[in-house]
Amino acid sequence: MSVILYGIVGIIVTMLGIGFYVARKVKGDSVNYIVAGRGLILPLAAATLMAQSLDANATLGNTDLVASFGFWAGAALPVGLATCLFLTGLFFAKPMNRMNLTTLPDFYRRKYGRTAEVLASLIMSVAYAFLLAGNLVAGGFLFEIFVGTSFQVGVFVIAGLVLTYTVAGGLFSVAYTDLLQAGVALVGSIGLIVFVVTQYGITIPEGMGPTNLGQLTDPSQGAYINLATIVALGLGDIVAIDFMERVFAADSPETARKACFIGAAGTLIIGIPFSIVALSANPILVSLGVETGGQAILYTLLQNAVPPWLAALVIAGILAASFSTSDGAILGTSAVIARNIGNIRVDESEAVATDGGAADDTGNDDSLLGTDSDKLLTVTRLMSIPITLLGIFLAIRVSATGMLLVLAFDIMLAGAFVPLVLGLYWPEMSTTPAALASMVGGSLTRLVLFVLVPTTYAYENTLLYINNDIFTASFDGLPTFIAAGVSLVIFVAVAYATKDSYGVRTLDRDGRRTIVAGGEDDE
Amino acid sequence: MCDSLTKRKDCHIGSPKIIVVPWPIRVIVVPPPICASIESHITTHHPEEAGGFLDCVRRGRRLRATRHVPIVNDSATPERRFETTVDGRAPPPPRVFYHSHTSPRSVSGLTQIDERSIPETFALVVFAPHGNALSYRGFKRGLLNWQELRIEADQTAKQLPRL
Repeated sequence: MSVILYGIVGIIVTMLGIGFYVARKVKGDSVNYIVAGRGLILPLAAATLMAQSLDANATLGNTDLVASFGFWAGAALPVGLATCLFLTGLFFAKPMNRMNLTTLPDFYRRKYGRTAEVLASLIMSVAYAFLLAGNLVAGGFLFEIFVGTSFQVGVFVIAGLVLTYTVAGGLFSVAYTDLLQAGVALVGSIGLIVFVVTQYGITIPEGMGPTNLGQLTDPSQGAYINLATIVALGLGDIVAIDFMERVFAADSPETARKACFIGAAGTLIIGIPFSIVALSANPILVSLGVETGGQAILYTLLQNAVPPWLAALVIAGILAASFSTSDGAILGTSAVIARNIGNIRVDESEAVATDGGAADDTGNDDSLLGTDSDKLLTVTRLMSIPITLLGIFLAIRVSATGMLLVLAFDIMLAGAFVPLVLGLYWPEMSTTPAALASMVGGSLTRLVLFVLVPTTYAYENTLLYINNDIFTASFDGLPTFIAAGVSLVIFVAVAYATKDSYGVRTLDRDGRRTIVAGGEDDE
Repeated sequence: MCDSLTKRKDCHIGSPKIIVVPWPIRVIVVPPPICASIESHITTHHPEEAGGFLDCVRRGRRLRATRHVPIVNDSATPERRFETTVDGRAPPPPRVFYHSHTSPRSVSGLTQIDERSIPETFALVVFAPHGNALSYRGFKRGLLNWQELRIEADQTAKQLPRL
């Protein structure tokens, strides 16, 4: 067995061990399962945010894009994700943590009502099905290249492993395995750049380095796409159900905020070295006489240019990233479908006690799918199975997973971002009709532009393109801004039109709705 | 006003949980014991406005109140306003928020402040200018405006007084 295979087996066994060991903390309580009992301390909260942002898709996409189009094309991914965590820490973590929400669509229900809750849930669930599929694809290829299985077997194995410990331990298992992933990824990333710098040196092809800001200002160098990536991730991921689930799980608003800031820093510290290494990847491979042959450039580099122990460490980090994002996607989507679409609520004051209620003295959680679990816990666990099967189906059968992923996250930005931000920071104007119109209008605008533009983030639109002379490939990137702008304009217009006739749902500091009624109107 | 002599603060009428088709609600049924409990609450607090929730079950196009949950008025001007927070005291949906209008100058239906600031699907206004209920009017929040519902007393389908 090769060193790399030892590394892969080692990380899988360790993650499964940790995942199952901490699963006993669930104790039959859906709040423990979905938001880790709202008790994540700072190191855990920060690590799980960092691990969730660094997925296998983003890591491989980062290196491939840098090698092909320049530093900012790939670095836009970690920069966008770090921007999201930074903005979340600055503006959203504290108020959202204080509200005692269980899932992000809970906010839409409290502020805008049931219809907005279901609409937001549908938008987010679809996006996360593609996020799961994308990470299964990345993990499947990793298995194919380094383990020697077929791609399909790799997808099934990863999905099966992630599903087992996620079903067992929920966010507890996810958070503790994320701690391991963040550690391995950090060491691997630093180790890789140190090795490349000392052994090969950093060779930056002309016009592709970080100082060439034309990649962010000149449309002919892909500026629209690079900026759209940063905006879509930086703002669109603020309404990511997995990020917010971790914000809700932090043990205090202050912890939530600090965890976001540390997560943002960690995302850059781990992600940017991959971008820098990728800049030199092509010159290194050329000097070694190696061709990538259509394979992910990072995998080619690890196979041919670094020692096996370091390759094993980096691959373990990528595999762990695939695991950690997949488990978060499964858990978050299952919880949203059970709670917000299925409308299964659990009164936390009546939830199964966390002092050992359903767990026996040995710590075994014998309530799995049993009668001791509260209903939300049981249904969330059950929903994770079809969610995983959908992810496997999309990973294996839909060739355009990458394009659908970015489209889905664009729709999340266009549909759910404005109602969240204005609901929190312009509450006196945020009416339910404004939110619904904004969600529908923004999402539809993004979908219409999708079918009219020949490329989406440089992916050729092979799914549904209506040939026209108005929108060319140079328009790529702009739909992200236009759809979000339309969502904002619609929200403001409808809010002004309905603020007197419909009124707003006012939330107090703890996110609870307030009622003001009276027999006499103000003079 | 109500037939029953029941005067309890937290009046509960048990009913089995059954699965029903979610037809649009047209009628709110307030059985006599619940009705009496509401009136007792309003009379006790007059001239301050009183309010709370009715825990309900669906019966076709009807919402039938099964439990009365009075809520304390948190307003600084309780004779003109009823204010509260929707927290653990509120029963789960379907539920009806009710409050009283206690001034003779009040309207028997929703005021503008009611329309804007009751973030609930169903609302019941009890017009009780002298402490005794003269009118019951029910409303459902639509997408753009409130629609009036019929308020009935139990199985007799008799409409409660409406001004």
